[in-house]
Amino acid sequence: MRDRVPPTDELPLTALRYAAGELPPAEAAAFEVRLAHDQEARDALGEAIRLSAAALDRPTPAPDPLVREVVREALRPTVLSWLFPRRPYRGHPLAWAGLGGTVAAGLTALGVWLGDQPDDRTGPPEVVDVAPPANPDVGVPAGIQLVKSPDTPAPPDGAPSRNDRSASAADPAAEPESPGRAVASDAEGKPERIAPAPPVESKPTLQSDPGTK
Amino acid sequence: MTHELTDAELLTRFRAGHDAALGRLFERYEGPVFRFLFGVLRDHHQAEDALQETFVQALRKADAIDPATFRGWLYTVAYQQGMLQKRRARRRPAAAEPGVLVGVAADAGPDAERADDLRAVTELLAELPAAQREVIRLRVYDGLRFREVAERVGCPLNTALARMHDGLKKLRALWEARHA
Repeated sequence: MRDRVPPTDELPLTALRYAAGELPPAEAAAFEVRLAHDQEARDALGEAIRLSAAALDRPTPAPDPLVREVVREALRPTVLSWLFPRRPYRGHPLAWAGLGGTVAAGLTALGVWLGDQPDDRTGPPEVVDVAPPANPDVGVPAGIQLVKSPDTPAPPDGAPSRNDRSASAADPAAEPESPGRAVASDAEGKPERIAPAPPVESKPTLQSDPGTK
Repeated sequence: MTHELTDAELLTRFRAGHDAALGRLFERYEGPVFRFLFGVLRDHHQAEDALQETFVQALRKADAIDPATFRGWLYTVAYQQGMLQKRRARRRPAAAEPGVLVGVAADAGPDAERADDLRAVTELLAELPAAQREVIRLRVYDGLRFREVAERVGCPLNTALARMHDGLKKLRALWEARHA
């Protein structure tokens, strides 16, 4: 006779006690929690059952063969399964969710980055509208002089120009009428048109003052 | 030499409508999963019901699972079905929950047949070391609980359990050799 040292791995013993219904309730509950995910514990429990049968000179417990037939019948294709065929496995749904989340995060980051970029468009604007001062002689920077085309008569006071818009005509303070076009001057002080002005009547034109050069 | 198909191959064939693949999956997993369920439920008929529902549920969703993890998936479904059956059984007032050895004994058939079984087991038990034989005899035939067996023999509980486990393993090997 040989007395045996208890094994360090207690899983088969715990499984045996659980299968025999001899684990205290708390330990049985803990073992059932383990059974939910631990394949070794599941196998140990099945093995405990297989070994127990030997003590009674019985074959291992097995299900009735009719179980297979019932399962086959339940899995037989139906009209519904024909109408809605099964989709092949294309990866775990969590993997797809993760991929979608990554793409969404990337697009969001790209959008934020693009939104933070400074406006790098350079160069002078082609046409600059200058609001007329209330007093034509006041508020014009030095070197710039308001001139009027000599060939166009000034409109009578209070008469709206052709470019008047109804809104600005109704409320002149809201959006003053553009009195003319900005014209830059070249090195000799000669006015240089940087954009073709639309035909306007009696529009004062900004010109540089040659005397200030 | 025939190539043993993997779970993934069998599952792929099952999805394609090969009925033989279902048979192979049954042969591979019906017994182990049933024993697992029997251990959880300790009732033959409940274990059969749970097994049936396990295969139906698991194979109906076969397209949504990774074929490489079929075994784990099957046991997870079995665990859920086993726990479901267990909760139902608890709601039934007359439900009994015998120990597994008692449960196996209850399946052993009529008294005359059981007497023959016990005689055969006694012959097999004689081939075991005395310490293991004593523990098995006290637990299975005298109906003592493991803790009571340990007290009777005068050893720690885990020692009694280890003797029981090892004794059953040897007994199983002897039984299979005799019935091979």
